[in-house]
Amino acid sequence: MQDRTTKHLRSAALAIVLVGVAFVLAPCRERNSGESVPGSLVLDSPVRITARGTASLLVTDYGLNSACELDRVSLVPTSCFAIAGKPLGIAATADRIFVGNETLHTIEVYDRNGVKLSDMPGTFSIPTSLAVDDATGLLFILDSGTRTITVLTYAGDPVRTITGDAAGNGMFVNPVALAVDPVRQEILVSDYGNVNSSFSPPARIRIYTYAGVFVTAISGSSGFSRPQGLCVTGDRIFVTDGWLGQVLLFTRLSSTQTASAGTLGSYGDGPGQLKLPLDVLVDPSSKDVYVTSNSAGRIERFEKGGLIP
Amino acid sequence: MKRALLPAMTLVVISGLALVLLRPSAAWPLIASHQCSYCHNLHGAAGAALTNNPQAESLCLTCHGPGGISVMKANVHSNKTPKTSFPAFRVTCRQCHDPHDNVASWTTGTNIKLVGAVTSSRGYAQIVTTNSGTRYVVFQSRGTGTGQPSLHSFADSDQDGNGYYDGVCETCHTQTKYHLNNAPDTKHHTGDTCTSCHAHVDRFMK
Repeated sequence: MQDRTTKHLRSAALAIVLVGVAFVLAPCRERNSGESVPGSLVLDSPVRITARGTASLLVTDYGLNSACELDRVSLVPTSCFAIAGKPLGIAATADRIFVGNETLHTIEVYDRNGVKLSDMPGTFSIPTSLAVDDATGLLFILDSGTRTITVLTYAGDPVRTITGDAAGNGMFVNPVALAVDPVRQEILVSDYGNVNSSFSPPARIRIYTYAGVFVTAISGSSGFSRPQGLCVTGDRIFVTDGWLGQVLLFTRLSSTQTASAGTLGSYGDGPGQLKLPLDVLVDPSSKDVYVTSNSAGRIERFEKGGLIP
Repeated sequence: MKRALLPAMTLVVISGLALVLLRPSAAWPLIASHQCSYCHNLHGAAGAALTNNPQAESLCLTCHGPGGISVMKANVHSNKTPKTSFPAFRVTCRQCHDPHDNVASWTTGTNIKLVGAVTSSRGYAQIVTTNSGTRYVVFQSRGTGTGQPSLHSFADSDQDGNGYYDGVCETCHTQTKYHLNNAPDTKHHTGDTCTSCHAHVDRFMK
């Protein structure tokens, strides 16, 4: 009897030790994709932003390794779901959320509750920025590692690959973000320019047709050098500049002409200020402008910012 | 008299320029990816001329942060995420790095990864720490985890026997559980690659 008890005790002790050792040795545990994130929800490192219906926003968080849904009024996350890696680009349709995973080099597909459905076909070196056009059913993926835009249907069927016009202003140099203009059927690309060669060519916003034909470019040579996420509404183009800590506004005067139309925000941590802004979203009805202020760890809202004349 | 002065003055000017350009602590871009125009703009171009650390931090992160063009991703060293109970702190880029150049270490080697925010009077890499004043920093190896020597790595616990805990992690640490700057520690991955678990992109936190 005593032997059996001792045996049981030994087994139990061994099990406890093994569990303890496994816990200690578990290296840098990551959450599975789609797993809900426990604890209080506070943004850490917001990167890209997109609309979720009319009441919510979706944001990728590079620090939390998550995608979070935020209330547009409070700007507080209401829920987050885990990404198994560093999330970058994000885009949403009525029933799907696409997320670019920098660590796994994938475009992951989630349902509206954050449950992972599948991966889109292909691998992507740095899937830094995504956009969708519901009218055409197209998903646009900017891979800043390979300097290409991949266009897929929502089902994952390949449509085309855009590498930039090989001539002059249309050539991709260091593209970092994209947006689409569904009305004009155009793709807008932020490009740092050649940082290794005294910014020659300089930073630019490049505009292409959906077919990949170069239309025009806005040069940053006298106004910006680190353009990041952008957004189009009507004739207005909104571009974040990560270094200046501002949103730059441009107006389309014609298909090939643009003009500077002002700025939003200033560099800093305070209200109305931006520190490493990486993406921008304009609410088409309220004209409120939402910006991911990455180093400040929050979303900054500029009420009616889209109405600046 | 005038004839003699001209060569003498030319010599003085050339010597002065050579002195400025060749002194060990001169701002001098060594690595190809950090050319002057990356950060410093002339004649009205966008951005200020990096007059303070917060501006420099933002500039570093435009390439090394999320969405940036560099594959070497990083973030500031802090515990902003609420999962840790350690007192709040924040170490920005230039408190550890000199973006201009790799700097000589006091062990006669040269640091990697631009580690060494300031230099001693003899040109050796140092860091101005929060709790321990200005200290030497030696970072010549990324540790055994990357197939490199454990000596002069993130935290080598004085394996080199010089009586100074000067790895890039340990030279500042006074309140961490392991690898303090005033005592040896052989219990926690000495000489290994700290960033295998405490990644730079995750603020060096686990």
